[in-house]
Parts: sequence; structure tokens; C-alpha cells
Amino acid sequence: MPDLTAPAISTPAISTAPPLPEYAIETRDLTKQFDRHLAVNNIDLKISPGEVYGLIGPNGAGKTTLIRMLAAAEEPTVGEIYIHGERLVRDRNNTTIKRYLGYLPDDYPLYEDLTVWDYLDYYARLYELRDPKRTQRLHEVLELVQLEYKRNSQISELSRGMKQRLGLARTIVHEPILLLLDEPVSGLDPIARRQFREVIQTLQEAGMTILISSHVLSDLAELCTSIGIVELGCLVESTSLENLYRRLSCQQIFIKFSEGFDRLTDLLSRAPHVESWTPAPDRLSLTVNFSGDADASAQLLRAIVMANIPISEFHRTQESLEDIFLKLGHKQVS
Amino acid sequence: MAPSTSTAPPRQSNLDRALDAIGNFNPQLLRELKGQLKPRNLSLAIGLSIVAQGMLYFVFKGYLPAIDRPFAPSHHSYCIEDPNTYECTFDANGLVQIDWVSWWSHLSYTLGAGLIVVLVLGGVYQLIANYAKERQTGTLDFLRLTPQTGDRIFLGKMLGVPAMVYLAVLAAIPFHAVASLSAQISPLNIGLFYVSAIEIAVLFFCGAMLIACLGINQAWLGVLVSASALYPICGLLFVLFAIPEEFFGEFANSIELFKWWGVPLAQSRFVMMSFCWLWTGIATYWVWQSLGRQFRNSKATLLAKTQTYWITGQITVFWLGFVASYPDAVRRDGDAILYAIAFAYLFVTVALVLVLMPGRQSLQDWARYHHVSAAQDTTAPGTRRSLWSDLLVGEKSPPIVAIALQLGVACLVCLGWVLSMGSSWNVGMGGKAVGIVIAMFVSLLMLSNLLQHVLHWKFKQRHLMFVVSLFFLLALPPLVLSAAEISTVHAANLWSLFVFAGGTFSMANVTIAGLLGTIGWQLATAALLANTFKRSVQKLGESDVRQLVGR
Repeated sequence: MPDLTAPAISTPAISTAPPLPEYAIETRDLTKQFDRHLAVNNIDLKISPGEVYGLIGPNGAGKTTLIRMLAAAEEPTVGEIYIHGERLVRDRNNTTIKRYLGYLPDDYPLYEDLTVWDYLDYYARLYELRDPKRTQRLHEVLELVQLEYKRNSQISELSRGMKQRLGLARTIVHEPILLLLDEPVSGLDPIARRQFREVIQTLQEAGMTILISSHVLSDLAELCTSIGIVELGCLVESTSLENLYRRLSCQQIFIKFSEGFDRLTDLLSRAPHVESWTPAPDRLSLTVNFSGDADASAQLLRAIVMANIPISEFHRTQESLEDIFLKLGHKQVS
Repeated sequence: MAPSTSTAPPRQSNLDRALDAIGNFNPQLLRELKGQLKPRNLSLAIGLSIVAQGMLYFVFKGYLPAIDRPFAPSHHSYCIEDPNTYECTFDANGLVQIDWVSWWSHLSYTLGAGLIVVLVLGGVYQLIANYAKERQTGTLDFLRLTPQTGDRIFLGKMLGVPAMVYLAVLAAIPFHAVASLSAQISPLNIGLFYVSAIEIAVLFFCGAMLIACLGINQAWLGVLVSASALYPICGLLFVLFAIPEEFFGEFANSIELFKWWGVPLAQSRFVMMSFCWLWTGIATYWVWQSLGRQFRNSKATLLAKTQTYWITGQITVFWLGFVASYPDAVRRDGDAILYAIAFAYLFVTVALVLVLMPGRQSLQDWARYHHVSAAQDTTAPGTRRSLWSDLLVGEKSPPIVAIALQLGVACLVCLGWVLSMGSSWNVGMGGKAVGIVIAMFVSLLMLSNLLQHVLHWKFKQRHLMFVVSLFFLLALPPLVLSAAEISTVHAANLWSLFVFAGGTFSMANVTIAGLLGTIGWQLATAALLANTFKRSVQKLGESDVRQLVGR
């Protein structure tokens, strides 16, 4: 097996790219209608350069249609798309914008009759990379996705995880500055998912702007700087991850003790930032809904210790992105 | 950073360097060649070609008269005949004298026809199969996302996908060249043949990729359609080459059919061939434009409205070039010419509807949002395209106005030609010709409006309905009238009223009143259909709220 540590990658073609605009992606009133069905409804999306933007929502909410339109794979019914300040016009070649973009859907088709190297070489040529840079770049991306040792293998011989990583290698072979990843880890086992996540993190560090849609919200929580929630074809939430947690995530403190339930509840009723608590049936532990920060929780711990309540456990937990998403109740498809 | 060990440039062979150069020229060509340049394929293509050539040679050899034994028949296709007795001649040794020129020329023509058939049908099959496979697997969509233009992708496919067919044909070229030279065909004519064969192949290959783009996955169907179209084209090509040199020049120039805008096309074989190349090239150019549009956007119409204005113009220039050269001194009815023009524009009208009619979704989007899109598509902020200019040049707008405009302009050109003929018409025919031309274009307008109506229905079999409508409008009336034994002479006005271009069947008997009646009812029907179509499109574009309120 190859070394799972992702290697360093040369910074994508930021040097050859135009000066950074205000937004890497900007859409205005973006709408897509299929017959009478509004798949995407008046979306105004703004993503700054260098962000990793996670797109979440139930199946059929319009995420894939939105990403396909951004990738120029689908024509909007109405609305405007700007990629790094340049307007995407469907009936033109959009050569510059296509060089900026790397798009990886979940069911990325591959040429099974080619070897890994020939496949990447073909796409590198399609993006007009010339030797010796092309060969160097092929080695780089193969090393990044940990497929260097498979370079001469037929694509048909690769596992699903490998094919997905090869798809990612193809997506970044031309050094795009904006990555659009639609369910990139669906169907992958935990190890393959971790490998994929590591590659994304490396690309993020290299300065790429990444828009990623996934149902694996724990992955998004780890990778993303911002989150957008799509429901009924509308972008109902678009904010930084930090702001989302601050606004919507409840903190809880779990306290386990051997005696002094009444003293503890008395103390909690007077303590700041304590909103409510739920005792366990045995009255030897309780869960506190807490709105304070780390310092406030340290103060609370100190107060409990000072009150001579014998505690055996005290730990603070935060609601996960998945909890927040479920709590928000955005379950409507478009 | 790339590891230093793996990035060291490997030593390249000549083949690698050649492939690299091909890949830099056209990545798609390299991809196709890599899939096919295998020893098995190469030996199979060359081997089969040589075997086929050998079989053809021996089949033709079997047609030769036996020269080494007493020769019984007095006549044979390949013996030199006595000009007086028309019997085979023998040399001093008693052996029959063979007409090698005739034998080689037949071999050359057969081989030439075989090469075109293998080239075109083999290429068409492979291109459709390859394209259909790419579309089905979804890889084609990702080619669209690269900065490559459709031109380069299609060129790569056209050069690379039938590579083995090219190889087999190339392997037969030396034998064909030797056979042609032995048949005393001039090197110039051999060259003209090869250029013609290449141009025909390019036209068919573009057509094959276009029908594959339109969703036809059955390569055999493409081969069947190509074979039926190739047969007359090959026939025409061989007729052009079979014409003896003596025909060209003064004699041919005196035939009015061979003059185009006054240019004598039959000055030489080269001029005649050049004329054919020009128009084949124009046809190929427009198919290529369609391919480019389909590559950029698979839901786009085959051509833009502005492009069809050029095509209709070119078709008008084509036929007008032939009739404009007619000498004024000859009086005529002109019914045959009018009939030919009617059918040329019938073909143009049906093609325009098919080429310009947007898909139902595009039409719905246009009807619902064209007021927004018209503002977004203009470069000047705060301005927007008017509805009329959108109907004339817009990509998704219904083509009803654009087609009507083209038919109107073509009608005016026809009328201009009819009036310019002046005294060339037989007495009383000029006025009727005017009426027939107007009736013909009004019929086409009605047909166009009806076909657009049919195509925008939310009905899966609408293309079948399209064909059925054509049958009912064009084929059924003459069939019914013929079955009822109503003759064109005795009921000329009835034929004019209900049969497309019916006035041309008996110009002498049709009356101006009959023609006015034809124009009247067809114009009224065309207007009614246009209005129904307009309301239908408006309904299609209504918002959900409006539809609910309207219920």
C-alpha cells in the first residue's frame, strides 16, 4: 500500500490566474425550471476566493442542478453566473472560465480502455498542457491522489475509491482555481473517504476555492469554511460555519456526580449561561444546556468543585452540523 | 513537488515523438488512435484490403476471353473487335487480341466505387457507434467542459475513429492508381476522383456525427440511410467521369442547362467538378456549423435563425443561377421549372421547421422568461431586445416569424424572376405563373405553421405526427383525386385548391379565380394556425399562479 500521507502539491495556477475578484462564484437570480418544476429558484450565491463552501440539503433539493449550472454543464433557464468576475455565457466557448473550473460529479465516467497515465495525459492535452510541464503535472497529481503506483494499470482494474481519486486527479490536472465537487465521497468506504478528505485539505491549503456538496455532514464540518443549505430549490441559508455554530448550535455540559443533586441544581439555577438541565432518572447525572464559552464553562466547573459536590465527569459537547441541519427541519425537496 | 526520480524525461522512440506531435495538434485524434493502433487491427485492415483487391483482380481476370485455346465466340466484351465485322480479332499466333484499356477501366471503376462505399459506410458506422457510446457513457459531456472547441473534437474523431478504414482504403490506392493509369485515365482525372471521394466522405462523416448528436444510436441505421444517399451520389460521380472528353467545350456550352449565372459549367470536367465541389463544400460547412452548435449546447437548435437566412439565400442563388441564363427568345409554359422550384422550397420549409424549432422546454423557458432573458442577453445595461428582434434572431424563440420572413423574401425573388421573364411566357401564362408562385408560398406558410404546431405538442410521438401531417397535406389529396379519376386537365382548379403546387399540373386550364381561391383559403388557414400557435405558446409560458387563477 502506498503512504497515505498526502504529499505537498504545487500551488495551482493562481500565478497565471487574473487578480482575485471579490467573489470566486457569484450568481444572480439563478433559476432552472424543468417543465413546471422549479429545480433552482432565484439563487443569489456568493463565494469568496479560497473558501471551502459546503452545500447541504435533502435529495432533490436542487444541489446537483445548481452545481451543474456553475460547471457550465447545464443551461440556466434564467439568471447570471460569474466565475471569478467573468460572466458565463452558455452559447460561447467560455475558454477562460473552463480553465478556471474543475468539476467532479459523483458518477464521473472514465474511459475504461485507457491506462491511468494515458487517461490523465489525454485530459491534460485537452486543457493544452505541453511537455515538460504536462509530464511533471501528471506525476504531481498522481502522487497527490496516491495512484502513482497504478499509473500503468488499466482503469477497468481500479477499485471504486481509486476511480474516484482518479476522477479528482483529472479534475485538477489543469490546475483549476475553482473546484466543484458533487457528492465526491458517496459510496466510498471510511478509508477511501479519509484519503479523499486529505486530498481536499491539501488542495484547500494550496488556495483553491472549493464548492462541495455532500450528505456526509461530518466531513463537511471538518473541511468547510462556509455552509449553504438548499431547500425547495432555494438557498435558505448561506453563512460561515463559525456563524452557523454560533447562531444555531446548542452547547451541552454533561455532569456525573455521586451525591448532592439538590445542591447542584440549586447552584445551576443561579449560575450564568445555564439555560436548562435534564436530570437522568437515577438523579446521579444531568445534561445542562449551556450558552457560555469555554471560560464560562471553566467557571461553572470551578463553582461546582468549590461547592464540594463530588463529580466524576464534566464535559462540554456541541451540536454537530448534522444536528443543526436536522433541527432546522429543511427536508423539503424542490 | 514532483519527485525527481519519476519526472526524468523517458527516451522517446520515433513513434512516441510522432504520437506526441499528433497529440499536440489534436488531443482527440491521439486518443482515438491510441485506442486503435494495435498490431492486430493494423494487420487485419491491411490484410483484408489486400485479399479484397486480389479477389477483385481474379474475378475480373475470369471475365477475359481465353487466349491460349481456340476461341469459340465471335464477340466478347474485352476483345478488340474488327470495325467492319464487329468480331474479335486474332494475332498472327491465333490468339485473341484483348482490349486491355476497357478491361482496366472497368476494374478501375469497380474498385473506385468499392473504395468509396467502404470508406463512407465503414466510416459512418464507426463514427455513429463511437459517438453513441461516448454519449451513453457520459464522457462526451465532459469533453464539452474542456476549453477544446467542437471543431477540434470532431476533427479528431473524423480523422481518428475510422483510422483502420482509412488504412484499408490507402492500401488499395496503389492498385487503383495502376488500374486507372492502365485504363489511360489521365492523372488529372484520377486526382479529381480522389478529391471528389474525399469530399463525399467528409460530407457523409459530418452527417453521421450530426445524426449521432441528435440521439440516433443505431449505427446500422446510419449505414442504411447513407447507403441510400450514396447510391445516387456515386452514380452522378461516375456519370461525370464517364462523359468523354469530346463532350466538353463548344457542344456542351450550347446546352442551356449547363450555364449558371452565364458561366458555362461544361467548359471542362474540372470546371464541372469544381461546381459540384463548391456546393458539396457549402453543404458540409452548414452541417459542420450544426455540429459545433450541438457540441456547445446539446439542447440548442441545429442552426441559428441568422444562419438559415444565409442558407435560404444560397439555395435561391443556386436555382436562380440556372433559370436566369435561359434565353428570352424561347417561349415556354415554365410549369416544369415552377414545379421544381415548389419542391425545392418545400424541402427548404420542412428543413427550416426541423432545424429551427426549439425543444418544448426551451420554448417554455422562452415563453415564460423571454422578457428577462432579452434584458440579460444585451450587452448595454438597461436595454433589452424587442420581441420582434427576438423572434427574428433569438435562439429560443419560436421560428414562426423567421420562417415566414424567409418564405416571403423567397416568394418576392420568385415573383421577380417570373416578371423578368416577360415575353418569354406563352400567352396568358405569365399572370398565372404569378398566381401559382403566390399560392405555392402561401401553401408553404400554412404547412410551416402547422408543422410548428405539431412539434410543440406535449406528445411523445410528435415526430411521427409530423410525418403523418406531411402525408395528409401533401400526399393524400393527389392520391384521393387520382383515385376518383379527377384529371388535372378537366378539374385544374380543384387540383390547384387542394394539391401542393397543383396549379403547375395544368397551367393552361387553371384559372386566375381558382388560384385566388387557393391563396385565400390557405392564407386564412395559415393565419388561424399562427394565432392558435401564439396562444398555445403564451399558455405554455404562464406562471403557476396565473394558471391556477385562470382555472
